[in-house]
Amino acid sequence: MFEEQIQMPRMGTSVHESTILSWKKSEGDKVRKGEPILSAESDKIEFEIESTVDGVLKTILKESNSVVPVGSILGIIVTENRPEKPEIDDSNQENLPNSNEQIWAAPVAPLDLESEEIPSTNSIKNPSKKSSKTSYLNFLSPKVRKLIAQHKISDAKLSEIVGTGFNGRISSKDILDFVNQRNKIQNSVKYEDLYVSENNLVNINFSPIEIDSLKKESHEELSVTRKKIAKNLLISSTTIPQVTLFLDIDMSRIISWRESNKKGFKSRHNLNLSYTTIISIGIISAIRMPIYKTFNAIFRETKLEIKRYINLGIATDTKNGLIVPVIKDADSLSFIELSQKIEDVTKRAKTNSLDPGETNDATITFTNFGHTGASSGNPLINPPQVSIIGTGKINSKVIPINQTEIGIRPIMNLALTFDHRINDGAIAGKFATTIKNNIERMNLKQLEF
Amino acid sequence: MNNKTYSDAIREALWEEMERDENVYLIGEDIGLGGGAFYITKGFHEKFGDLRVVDTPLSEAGFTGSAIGSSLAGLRPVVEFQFADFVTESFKMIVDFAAGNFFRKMGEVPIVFRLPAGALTSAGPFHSQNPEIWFFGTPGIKIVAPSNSYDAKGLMKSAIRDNNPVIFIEYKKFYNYPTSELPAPLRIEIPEEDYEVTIGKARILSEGKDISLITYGTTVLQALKAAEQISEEGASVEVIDLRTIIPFDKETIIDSVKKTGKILFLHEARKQGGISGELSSLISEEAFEYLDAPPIRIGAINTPVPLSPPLEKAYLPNTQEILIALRDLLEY
Repeated sequence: MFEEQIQMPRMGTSVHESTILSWKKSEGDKVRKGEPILSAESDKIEFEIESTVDGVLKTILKESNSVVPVGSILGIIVTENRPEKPEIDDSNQENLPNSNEQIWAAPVAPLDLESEEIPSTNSIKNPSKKSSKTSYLNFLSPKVRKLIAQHKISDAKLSEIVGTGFNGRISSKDILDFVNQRNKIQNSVKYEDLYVSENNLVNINFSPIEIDSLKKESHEELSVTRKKIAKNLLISSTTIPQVTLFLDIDMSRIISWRESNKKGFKSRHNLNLSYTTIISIGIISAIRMPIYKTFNAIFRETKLEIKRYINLGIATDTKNGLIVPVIKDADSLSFIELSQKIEDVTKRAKTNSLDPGETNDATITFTNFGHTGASSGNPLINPPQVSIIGTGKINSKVIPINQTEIGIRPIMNLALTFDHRINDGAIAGKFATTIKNNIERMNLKQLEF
Repeated sequence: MNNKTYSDAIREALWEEMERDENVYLIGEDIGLGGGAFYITKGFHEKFGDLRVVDTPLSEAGFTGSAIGSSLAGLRPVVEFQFADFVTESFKMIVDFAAGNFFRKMGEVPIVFRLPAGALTSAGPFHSQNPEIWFFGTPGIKIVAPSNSYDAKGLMKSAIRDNNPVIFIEYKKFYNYPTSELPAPLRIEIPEEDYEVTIGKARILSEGKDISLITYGTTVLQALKAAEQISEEGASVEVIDLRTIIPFDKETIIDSVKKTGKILFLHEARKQGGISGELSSLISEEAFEYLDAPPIRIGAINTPVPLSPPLEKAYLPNTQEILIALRDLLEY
């Protein structure tokens, strides 16, 4: 035996209550499924409520003429059949305000929507879109084209950029990353605009030098070091017919590589990544080539001693004057070893702590005078050597970067002074060009650290 | 602290305008003795009387036509449609006799039509629609659609003071929502003194440089929520509330596209036939060289508004869908 409740139905979204007009059945009466058992009225219409089961009307809970809220239980029917009707959904009941307030209830429901079903048709990556994958490889959106023009990126450079956008297209981000990288190279060599202000004027003193009249001149004997330098250079300039060749080297790759790696190098080896070391490598690689062996030699009287080992002299400025410590067997050193040695000898040269033999037996000398501010210069050969290479300050220069466009690049001037008795201009020019190529196109990945 | 609801704001605007100008009057079903189906005009009839708060029979075409006639004679009616959906009964009146008048030199029609619109109230297909799409192609009419109480009051005042016919779209689901629970851009303090919100000017709710998200009405909330989520992921979305559908603020939209190059249009109205189609084409025509990706649109699916709550949710744009579209656009 089951008890089936008779509920007051909701007869419209705005109906909150109805009035029972009259019961058609009395307590104890048999009822059949679908048979009307009472009539009621809401503010819009009169309606009948039917029995949902076969059974007997056991109890009447609400009498005729009573006003009852929607959902109230009006009576009970007992039945032998399990009722099958679904539950009445009352879940909206709590949202209905008092019927005196609004005629139509606007429920205060949560305003946002979360649905498990996510229609994805509106995304730009909707797979049903017909465009083919390959069409994106060379696709440049209008904004990207604008950026390319704005930043003057050549076609050659554009072909080097890897696209990380949709289907491999070159995105705005890819362009901007490229420009940032390029700026890093260009910005690491500062362009110095001539800026003169009240704070950096050089004042000229027009009054005579004030000194004790007895000391208008001072006479002194040359120091030991200066005597040595003087003697050497006199021999050099009076006995060696030396000629200097100049060429320009584009340092962009080296600078960019150095910027990216100097921190890591320092933290791993406690060494600085120095231009002197890298240029030395370029020089050493050139000297190794058999055709240039005559540049790595000692010349006395008429005998030319071609050396198969490279003792590279590194000209170093000290407070006592120019000192040239020598890296023995520089050709057999790894990049790290060479870096270490160069840093070490130049430091000890400056603190006057070199050992006696360390300034002897150079087979070729390299002088990097960039730190002095000079862009180029023609160094004098250290006899009995037959060549010397010098490099100056790296300056930003305007150069053509293709057939029609100019660019700004960091340029370093390299000077090769050679003993013309031993080598002629042609081979000297080739030697200098090889050094330039070695530096400009060095396979930097091979510099292991 | 803005404690006023969206319906408070509309009610205040109507009341203040009724007090300010005796030519302003209200007309619609159940607005007088009943106080309005959504309680907006409760108390008006007691204060302003029969002639200024007019209860009408169930005849939209009839009372719309009569209101238009009265406006030609110098009055300034505010016509309430009980549900936006019912405006279709008055279509001819509005399009032929209100909108076109100015162009045909038939006099000014300073009338406001109030339309309670929008879904997510389980009200079914006849009580949940978005009417702006039906009038979008009609010259001579303005359409505004505020998303918050501050804009609602300001735009209602501008609409009543405007000498053109203005369709004022109100969103049912915003009526009683507690303002304190809304995000900051929608909680602007409503000043004591009189103010207007200019018709035809959009508002940038949050600035960004990666994507422009153009929206109005109910989807403003979802837009702000999605933008916040994206900003936590490292990018920034510029959310623009159109506020006015006609005339729409082309300048603000194009300025934004110039900045970002990527644009997403979002509205509750269906995608097909929605105003995002017009705006999207306009961007392609006038700002093509700034685009970094094709313009994208999100709107409801192309069916009538379902009655059943889960179906209604599936019909409307949801926050997940918006987030996916934004992320895909960022990666494009």
